[in-house]
Amino acid sequence: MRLGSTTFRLRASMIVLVLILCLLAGRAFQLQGLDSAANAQAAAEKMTHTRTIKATRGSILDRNGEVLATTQPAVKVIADPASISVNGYNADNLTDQQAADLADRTPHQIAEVLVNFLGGATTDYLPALKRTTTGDGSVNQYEVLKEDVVADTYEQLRQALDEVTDVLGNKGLYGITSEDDPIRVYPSGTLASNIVGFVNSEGTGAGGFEYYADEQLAGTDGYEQYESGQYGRIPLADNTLKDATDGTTYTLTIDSELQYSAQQLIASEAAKYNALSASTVIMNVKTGEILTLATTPGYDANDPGAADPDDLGNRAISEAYEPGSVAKVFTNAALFDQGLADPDTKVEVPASIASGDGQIRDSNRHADTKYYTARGVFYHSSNIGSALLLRQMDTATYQQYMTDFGFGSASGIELPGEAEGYLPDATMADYTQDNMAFGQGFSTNVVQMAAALASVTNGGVYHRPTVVASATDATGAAVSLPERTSRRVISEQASAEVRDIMEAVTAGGTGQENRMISGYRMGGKSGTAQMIDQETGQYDAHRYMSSYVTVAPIEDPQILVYTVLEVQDQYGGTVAMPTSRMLMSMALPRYGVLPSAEVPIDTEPLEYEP
Amino acid sequence: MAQHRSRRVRLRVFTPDGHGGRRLTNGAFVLLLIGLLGIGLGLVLVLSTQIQQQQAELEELQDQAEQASYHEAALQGEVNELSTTNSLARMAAALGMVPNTNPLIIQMPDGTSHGTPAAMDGTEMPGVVPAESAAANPSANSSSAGQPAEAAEPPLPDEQDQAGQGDDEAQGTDPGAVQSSQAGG
Repeated sequence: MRLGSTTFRLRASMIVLVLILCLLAGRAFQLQGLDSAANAQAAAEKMTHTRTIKATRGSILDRNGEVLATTQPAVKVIADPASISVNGYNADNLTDQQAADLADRTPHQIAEVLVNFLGGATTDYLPALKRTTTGDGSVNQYEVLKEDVVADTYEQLRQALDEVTDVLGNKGLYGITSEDDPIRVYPSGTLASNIVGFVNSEGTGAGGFEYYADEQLAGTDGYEQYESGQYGRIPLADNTLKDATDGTTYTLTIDSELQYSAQQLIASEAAKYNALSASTVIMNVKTGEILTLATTPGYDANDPGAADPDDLGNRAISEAYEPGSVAKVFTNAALFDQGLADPDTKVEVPASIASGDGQIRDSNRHADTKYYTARGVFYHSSNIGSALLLRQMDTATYQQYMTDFGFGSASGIELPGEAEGYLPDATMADYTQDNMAFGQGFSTNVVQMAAALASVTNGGVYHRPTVVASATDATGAAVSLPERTSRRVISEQASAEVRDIMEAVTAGGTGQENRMISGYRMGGKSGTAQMIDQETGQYDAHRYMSSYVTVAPIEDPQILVYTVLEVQDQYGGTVAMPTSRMLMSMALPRYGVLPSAEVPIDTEPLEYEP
Repeated sequence: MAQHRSRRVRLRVFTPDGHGGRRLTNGAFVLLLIGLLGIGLGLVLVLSTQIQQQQAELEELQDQAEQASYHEAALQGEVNELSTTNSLARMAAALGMVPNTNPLIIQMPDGTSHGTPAAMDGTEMPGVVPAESAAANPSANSSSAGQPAEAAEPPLPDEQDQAGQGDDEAQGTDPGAVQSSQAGG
């Protein structure tokens, strides 16, 4: 076999080829056979990138579509000080002089642009822009310059940076980037903040409805997985896209304009009477929809941190109190429904009666015996008369009525932190029932109270109170809401009789004009309850929960306004009545409730001749 | 059958000589392959360049769309801010408007009116007019609005009446709807 022979050359090539193939096969075996999964994963990880697509949080609107809470695209502005010091050039290609010039001038140039768009002074940004090394001496490529920058502002900032000429005479300044960081905006700030609530710095609901419906509002984040190399995304390569499902948008039953008036008014009235706190609720008695729920003191939803933490909740829901004389409405409602009394039932009211170990007296002390009708007992707000009337009913039946009116259990309003209040059980002592007849011995929150008052005046049907009118998903399709239960609690007849005695409070007797609104027939009831001192557990003789409810038009009630103020030594008829009346005078025409054709003079008997 | 057989083409030995004319020379074949490869590569290049270019274009357009949506969101934010009750109340108060708790209600479509409108003096709803504008108000009130208002006090209900009706005509497309005029006095 000669060296140059064809056979030899063929064989030699074959051997070389076989060797190469063996090597390749060996390598392939090593890659695919021995540790294939890990290798494939490492390769994929190197190329595949995943980007989270954030779901946009749903908005919260008022009943007329006014925006109460919405999410705006915003960014965190980030600086890469290491790149800034060379303005994105490769440092190896720069002369020492150029590098020094760039490092000296570029941060200043960038800071000047930043000031134009982000505000502040250049000195606010320069330290961060020049911090090219971190504390441990490594290269610093990440400095957050500002958070919550509106995305549109950032885009303008970027364009401005592109227009600047650097020290080497080239256009464009590098090293400023952004991270998506949407912000929650409450255009109205303080308006309905106690209902709408607020989000924390992570954008998660932390108060009010934002907290209650956080999961639905938040939606579900999506993601995009794509392959990219050194020069960006690889076209036609694997690309998985799972779109984000944006959050549900809620329309509340709140009427912003009425809410605004209520907040302004209650704040002004609370200041006038030196009230520690105050709440007022306006409800559609036919549906249980809450049109307004104003509390004071409140807070700005855009800056909840600035407020007293105690004010960040919603007192109308979270605080239970003894309602006082307004509860006489329920005493009468139960009696009328059982047929144990009617507005003209005669009641002999002595100066005091014994109850348990104590005595019940009327707040308007009288030494002589009064001869009141049930209407008169209600009009004069006689504790004795109410207790005497209720003694006709056994405790279990009465307790059942109170349970039906919604006391003792959460109303289920779509807001967090509801206080259930306290309702004694069916085996309560007789003196407890006596106390409950005039609003002591049980507790309730403002919304429970409003819903119960609506049920006994609207014809006898309890509607679960609500602040949510409707909801739509990201595509605009309606989202079904949990069904609200309604139940009959007293008969229509009994409800009409309740309205009869409530009208007497606003229109009966003499000198009640200040409680009325011209052109409308209305009903009302005041209440003043001593508060229990949290430290001593005893009634504080000077701290009152003073309240007033008004319902109109009394012949066919549409609107209910219930106001409660926490005051010192002042009565509900004085401090809470004006707020309820003024809000009613605004709400009635607003909801197209026509004035009554004629308002009869109420001459129903309050007393009788023995 | 016999005829067929006689007509049958005679087989002959095929000698590959490389110059038969029906075959390409080695060099031409290689050229053809190189040519095909070249065209193929060229096409792939053109295609991928085009895809790259379109991808770049797509990204730029998406970028523009995003920027436009950011701008829209910023403008919508301003609209939201300006149309809140808070800011409307401030603007209304700056114009000297006060809440009207005693409006005239006109029932559509028959046009019957309910209620007796009366001029409001602004004290009906204490605190509802924002404090900052109320503080700024007296000067505006006494100089411009205050004086003529005094002179024009008697015809005020009339004006309000007309305003209310005008309002209803404009919105009176919904028969049977109850319209209320909330115009301040």
